[in-house]
Amino acid sequence: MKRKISDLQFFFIIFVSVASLTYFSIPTQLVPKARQDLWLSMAIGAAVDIYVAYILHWLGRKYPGQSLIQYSRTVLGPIGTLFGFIFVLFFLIVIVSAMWLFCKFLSTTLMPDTPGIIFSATMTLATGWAAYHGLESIARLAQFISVLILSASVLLILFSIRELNLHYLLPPFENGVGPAIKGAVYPASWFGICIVIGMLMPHLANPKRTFKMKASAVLLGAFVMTVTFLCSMAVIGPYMASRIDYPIYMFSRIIHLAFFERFDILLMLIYISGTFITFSTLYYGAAVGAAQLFGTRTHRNWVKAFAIFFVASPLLPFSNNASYAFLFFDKWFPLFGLLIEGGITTLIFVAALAKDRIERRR
Amino acid sequence: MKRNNRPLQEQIGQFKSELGNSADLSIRECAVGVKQIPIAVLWLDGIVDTQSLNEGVLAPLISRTRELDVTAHEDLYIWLQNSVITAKKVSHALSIDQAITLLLSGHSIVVMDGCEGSIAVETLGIETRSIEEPASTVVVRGPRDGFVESLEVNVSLIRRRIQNKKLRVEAMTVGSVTHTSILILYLQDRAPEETVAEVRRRLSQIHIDAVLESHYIEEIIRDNARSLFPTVYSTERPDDIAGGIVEGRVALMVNGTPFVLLVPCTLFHLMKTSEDYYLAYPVATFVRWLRYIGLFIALLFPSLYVGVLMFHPEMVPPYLLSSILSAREGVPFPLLIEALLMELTFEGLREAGIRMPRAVGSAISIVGALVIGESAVRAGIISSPTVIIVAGTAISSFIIPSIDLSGTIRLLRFFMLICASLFGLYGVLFGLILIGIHLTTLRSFGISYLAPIAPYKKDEARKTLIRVPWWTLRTHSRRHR
Repeated sequence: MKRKISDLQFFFIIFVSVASLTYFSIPTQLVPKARQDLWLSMAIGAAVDIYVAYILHWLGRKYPGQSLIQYSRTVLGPIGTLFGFIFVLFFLIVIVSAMWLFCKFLSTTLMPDTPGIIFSATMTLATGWAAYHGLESIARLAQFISVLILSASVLLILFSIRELNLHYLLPPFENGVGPAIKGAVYPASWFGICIVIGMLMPHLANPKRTFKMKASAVLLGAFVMTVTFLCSMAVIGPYMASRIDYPIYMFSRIIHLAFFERFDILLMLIYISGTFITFSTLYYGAAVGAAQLFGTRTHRNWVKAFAIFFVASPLLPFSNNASYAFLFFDKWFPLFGLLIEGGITTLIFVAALAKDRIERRR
Repeated sequence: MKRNNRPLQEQIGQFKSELGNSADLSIRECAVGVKQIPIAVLWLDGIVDTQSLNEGVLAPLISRTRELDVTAHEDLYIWLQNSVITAKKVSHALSIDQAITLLLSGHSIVVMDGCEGSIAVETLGIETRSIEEPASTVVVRGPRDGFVESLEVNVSLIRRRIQNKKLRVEAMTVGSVTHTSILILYLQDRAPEETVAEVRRRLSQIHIDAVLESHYIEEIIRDNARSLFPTVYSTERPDDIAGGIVEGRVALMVNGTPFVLLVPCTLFHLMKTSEDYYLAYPVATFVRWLRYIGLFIALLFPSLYVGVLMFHPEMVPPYLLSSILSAREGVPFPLLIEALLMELTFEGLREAGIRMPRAVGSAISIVGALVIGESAVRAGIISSPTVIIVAGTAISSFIIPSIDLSGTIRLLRFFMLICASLFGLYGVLFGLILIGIHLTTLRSFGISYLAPIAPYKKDEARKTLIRVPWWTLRTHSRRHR
């Protein structure tokens, strides 16, 4: 754990997380709302995330060697501890809900006969093991997986060129700018999960470049995925795309890659490996956060303790109630997500700024 | 060297009793000088070189001292050592324990009537195999000499290639029963001091009774003792070891085995061969990539076959699928069992082929190819696609240059096969991620196992992925100028 990760590894972790979150978590809500204008939503989402990244970068530089949990306590005292608790809880909720989505996705598309708990158990085992070994392992795997994701996405886009119907993307702003801006809450809240960089910053070899790396990774990830979204819409049409749950998956089913009949499974596997990186980074963040919050010497016991929640996530009480799940992902998750990711971080930022001023005047 | 008035026979008797009247202990008693002082020379038959014993020890002791008037005074040992014995290496042993240790390592011991101590003369002459082409790694182009069981010869093979005063050779003894000598070879200034120190530290901590092959050492000094992946490189080829030493790695030679160890060793070291550097660089790069692909095929081919056919048959193009399914018609086993059966058969054949006397070897290939391959398919017990898959896997596993790594991959193939049969392609991915996590946590003497790809180092990664032509590399001497 004392070993540091390089700029490039950090970049890859963020890129992989953004891309895989976009593949699994965002489309169901975003595509029906924004349709062909989703590029604007994605852009706003990325912008919000970059704002948060700037705050975290500033705070991380101000309190070097401290994580999000630690400096929120340094700045705000007991309230900061409460905030830290909220952050850890938030990470857990994010993993549980993303795991739920992931399992639902896999059991509806890839293997319909397999119960969701198989996916959550295997995924928890893999991510837990990675989180147990620490950030360095995750970062090295991210290097390999990001190359896969990037090349797979580019291949997908290239092979779809033949089937594009660009007029599907017209007219822009069919229903005004409103839906696109409202739709921005989904990418913003999911991308905002990258506040986990607050937990990673003490492990960076070169914290000066955090902001630059993070911003470019989010931009690259959002760009690649936006192009993929637009391509999928240009192939299957925005109407169809907004009716089905997983437009990118459907899109990849249509594309033939050389002699491969079904590129979709390969692509899905690649994104699953990306999700693995996202989960294990969050898992690591949550475990380290909990360890810092409760003053435990190592995060490893927390990794073991949290595992049960993640394995159980497909069995959650609301899981069979579609309307409840819809409400959660449509309303509650973006709301609370943004409040925590944007709101609390801004609060800490303002408090730290004020504290800094007061100290300087003395 | 005090006079202790111990007669010669008593001293000889002490040696005899220490060695338990061993049958191969030879004693030559004689008399020195005009005064005919009784002395004796002791050695162990078979491990001394008769010629150097005669010419360097016995002849000078008897014939040269004939005219000299000496007494058995205290400096007689030193006088014998300095002026009489002509062998190349002579040392003075004080105690009987020291003398016996030297006696066992091929020295001849000279003891004298009434004097404490003895002289040890180096007359080592163990029969060694001549230098031959190593059987475990054969090259088309490149040097054909291989290490042998003798440390001196092995060091000479390295010295011949690296004629540099910075080449350091350090000796150590390991094994409470066997007292096996181990040599540490490295280039000072090239090999990091920490690595050398770490090697020394780990070797000094070895507590084992016997070291009969370098793998004993390998298993004890490696990091991650429980990992399946080899983290120490071993080879019989001196050019390979010399290349490693020049790169700044540390070589370990163990007496009695032609396999020399090299540390640190990463996954990508195991995928290189020294022949890469003797071939044209485009060809060598192509071969290297072929090896990486072979690695993945050897690991994944059967599991992908089982996973795709059992869980995702829609991925296969329709014509191919129909031909596979029609070939499998009537096969009584489920796909997984069929694949496992064939894999195990192949592993069995391979193991049998290694142990077989050469004369019977052709019988194995006939049985393997005709009986199992041809007849089993004809009889409809095994489908021919499975045979093709297993054959492809087998060829790929031979592409991997390292025997150790190839063994690891063979074992992991079964793990992947089980993952695939449980969860299809998702299981394959799951297995790969687990292996990936394991690989990222491995280290070899301070270097991460996936270096230089992860963590990424640009120049070294380039040299790993492609065989960079020498003229694009600025040589070290030029850089230092």
